[in-house]
Amino acid sequence: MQAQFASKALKAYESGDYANSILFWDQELKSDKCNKEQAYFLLGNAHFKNKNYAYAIANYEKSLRENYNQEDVKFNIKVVRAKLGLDTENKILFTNDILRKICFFFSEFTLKLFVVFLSMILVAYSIFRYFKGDIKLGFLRHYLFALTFILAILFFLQQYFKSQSGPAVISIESTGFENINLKGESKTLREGEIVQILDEVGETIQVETEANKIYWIQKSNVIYI
Amino acid sequence: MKISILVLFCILAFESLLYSQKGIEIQISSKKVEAGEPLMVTYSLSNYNERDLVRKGFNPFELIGGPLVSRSMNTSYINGNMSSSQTNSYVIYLVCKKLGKQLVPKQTFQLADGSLIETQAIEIEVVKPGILPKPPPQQRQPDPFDPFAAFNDPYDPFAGPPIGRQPQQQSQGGVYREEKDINLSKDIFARIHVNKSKVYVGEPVSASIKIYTSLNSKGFEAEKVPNFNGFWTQDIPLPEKLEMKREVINGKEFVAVEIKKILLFPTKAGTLEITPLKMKTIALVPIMRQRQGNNRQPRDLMEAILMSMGMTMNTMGVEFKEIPYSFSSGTEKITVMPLPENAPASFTGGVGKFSFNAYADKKALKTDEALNYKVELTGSGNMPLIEPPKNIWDEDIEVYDPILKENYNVQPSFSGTKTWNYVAIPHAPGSYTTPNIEFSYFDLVQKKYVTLTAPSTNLTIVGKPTKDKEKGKKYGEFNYAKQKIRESKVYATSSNLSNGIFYGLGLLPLAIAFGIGLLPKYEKAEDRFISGKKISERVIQQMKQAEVYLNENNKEAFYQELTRTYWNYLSHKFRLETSDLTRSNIAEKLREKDVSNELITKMINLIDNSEMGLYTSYGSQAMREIYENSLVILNDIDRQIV
Repeated sequence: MQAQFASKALKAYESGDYANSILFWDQELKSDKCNKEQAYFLLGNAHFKNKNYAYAIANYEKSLRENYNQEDVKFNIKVVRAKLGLDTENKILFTNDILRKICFFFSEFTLKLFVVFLSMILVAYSIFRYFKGDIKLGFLRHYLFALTFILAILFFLQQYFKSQSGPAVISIESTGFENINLKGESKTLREGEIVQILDEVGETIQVETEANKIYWIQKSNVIYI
Repeated sequence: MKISILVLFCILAFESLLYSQKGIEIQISSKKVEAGEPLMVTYSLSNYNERDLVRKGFNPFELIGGPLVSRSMNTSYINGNMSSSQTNSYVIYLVCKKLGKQLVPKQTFQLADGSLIETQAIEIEVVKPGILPKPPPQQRQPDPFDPFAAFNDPYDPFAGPPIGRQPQQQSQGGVYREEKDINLSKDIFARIHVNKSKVYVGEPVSASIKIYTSLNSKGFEAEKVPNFNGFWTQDIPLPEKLEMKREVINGKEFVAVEIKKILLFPTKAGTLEITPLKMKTIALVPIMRQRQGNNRQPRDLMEAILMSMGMTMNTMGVEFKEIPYSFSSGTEKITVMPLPENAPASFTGGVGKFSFNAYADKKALKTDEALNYKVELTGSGNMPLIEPPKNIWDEDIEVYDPILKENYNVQPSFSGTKTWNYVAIPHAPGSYTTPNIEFSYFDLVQKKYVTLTAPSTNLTIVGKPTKDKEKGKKYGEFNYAKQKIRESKVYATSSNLSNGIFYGLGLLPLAIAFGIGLLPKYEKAEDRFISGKKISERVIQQMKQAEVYLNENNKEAFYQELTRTYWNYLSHKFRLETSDLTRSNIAEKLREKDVSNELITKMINLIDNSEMGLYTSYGSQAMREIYENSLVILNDIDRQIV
């Protein structure tokens, strides 16, 4: 049933009805069994075709947060950024994060399966060993333990990376003010720029731009990733 | 160590106290006062440690109130140094009935050490009643609060009304009768001023954001910054110290502060909105003091004075309430007209007035040598938004994306130079020309498109032609902007284990398995005893050991081993601790297990003999006999036991 939205979205995309495709993807993303990494990627594509470049970037980044090892998504981000006249080098979120690459080598599901499988073996063997004594290849148990722990840690790291929030994409060319009281410099932040959110006062947020400068802008001008 | 730090600290503190500045400040509510109207004089003594004001009389003035003393202590640590200052303020209310210039006499304060200090005399002009318009009372108050502290401007002249300021024509409405009447929307507000409300796309609009206030307040803080969506904005720097200007709006005087000036270049047509700036402040609002029951008897003399003044004088009945107040500038709308449609092909978004030039740095060069070609745009207008003019080069000359240099002045009008520096590499010899570059912009004065051209230069290229594969290597860069995005039509709902299952079947067993591994080795009580084949195996093993001792003629070890063998055997067979076994219950147990009486006697004898052998001198002959007997008897018993 859930996949219905996805197939509708794909169909709409193919027929060039990008606006509807976006709506369907949004609905698909609300469902439990949604494959977020693919859905965000495809939603990003629909946004791109609909010329919502900032939204395209935001959704690509969301997809990358679900699974960092997606070269197509990274490529697309660069294309969109280039089209917006922004730098393409090293400006993708979490660029060249080796830890992330390792963490997302296995999908969450695979990691879970591995951990469950290995734990079952380990607990069965541990009980056996406790009552009946060791077997010949009992030392392998240590390696199994280590492996399972590492996989479990990878799982938790994945969860941590997925839950990380803070960055946002500027959705529309907007003016950032150095000081919330408007004193000091102000600068136009460009659409598609990725910013880190530092603080929030009412409807105004403080962001750090790619050039490592800090500005206050209105909350409605950014898309949270 | 600690003590010495403490001492040092005390010294520092004392020192800073010594160095804190002493001073007397005098403030008066007005330089001109009507006869019979109260005049407020405030003497503020900083760090004098004085005892009191010595009352000497105020001739020709008459004291009607005070002195009211207020003390304020101020201690601050800066870079680890403590500085502390104490300011005592003495407020007196005077009335004069004589007209003309009058002197408030010098006042004397007695210090703690008994010495006296004198203040200066103050000149006041007393005029006829009714001549001066009545200033709002809040302006008579000395005001320690700086409303623009948020703008890092602690010594703002605006903070307190200057001494002796001429009372302005102001409505009496400055003071609120009751708290519920308070409506600050006419006292504090912000405005966004734009110099044009109807512009073309790309035509600069200057916007300035101002705060107006007629009250004192404790700083301003923005809650929401304005939004200039649809505009490219260029900051116009303001002086470090914000300027306070007095402006009269609808007959009411305000202090106006321009907090932001910004240049807006609309990037799209339509009605663009500048959303308001929202700010909050704590306003010091003058309110009439609530009088509880005018008929009430005053408690003391002071109250009597205050009460009587409260009836006759407004000032004494005014109280300042701190009221948090949020305000916002209105939404400003700007109508942006699209540029005329007949734009020439060479139009790249420029609006304003520009001059344009393009030139190459060389006229003759070798193949593979880099030619710098500069396209320079000078003028005023929406420079940051202008795209480079199109230039098409000969196929044999490879041109790379330009390097952009910008240099702008913001004031008096936004102008400057924008340079695109192209690197061109010729790959084949011959005569070429640089492209004829056209640049079109929309002239705001003439309201039409203007096209400028830069003449082309002749280039002479010598040298060998470059091979195709070497092209584009030097400066070549992958241009993402020209790429298509990678699309996908694959979507598969993800299978996933719920976290609950994962924790239950994965992590919990893992923890259990780990826990079991940490437990000391489990040993069941029965497991002390071996059973079945293992008993005979052990007996055989022990008998072999006994045989070794026998051969060595090691009598003591031999008997020990034998005895141990019997007891071990029986203990494991009956699953009883050796300590629980005695000769009598061995017989009993064996009988229970259907062992013949004869064999039981033999067994008992065997045990007796071997024990005897251990403690008495027995020949080696007997050793071998006992050994063989043991083998036979144990074997027999093992066979007979059920």
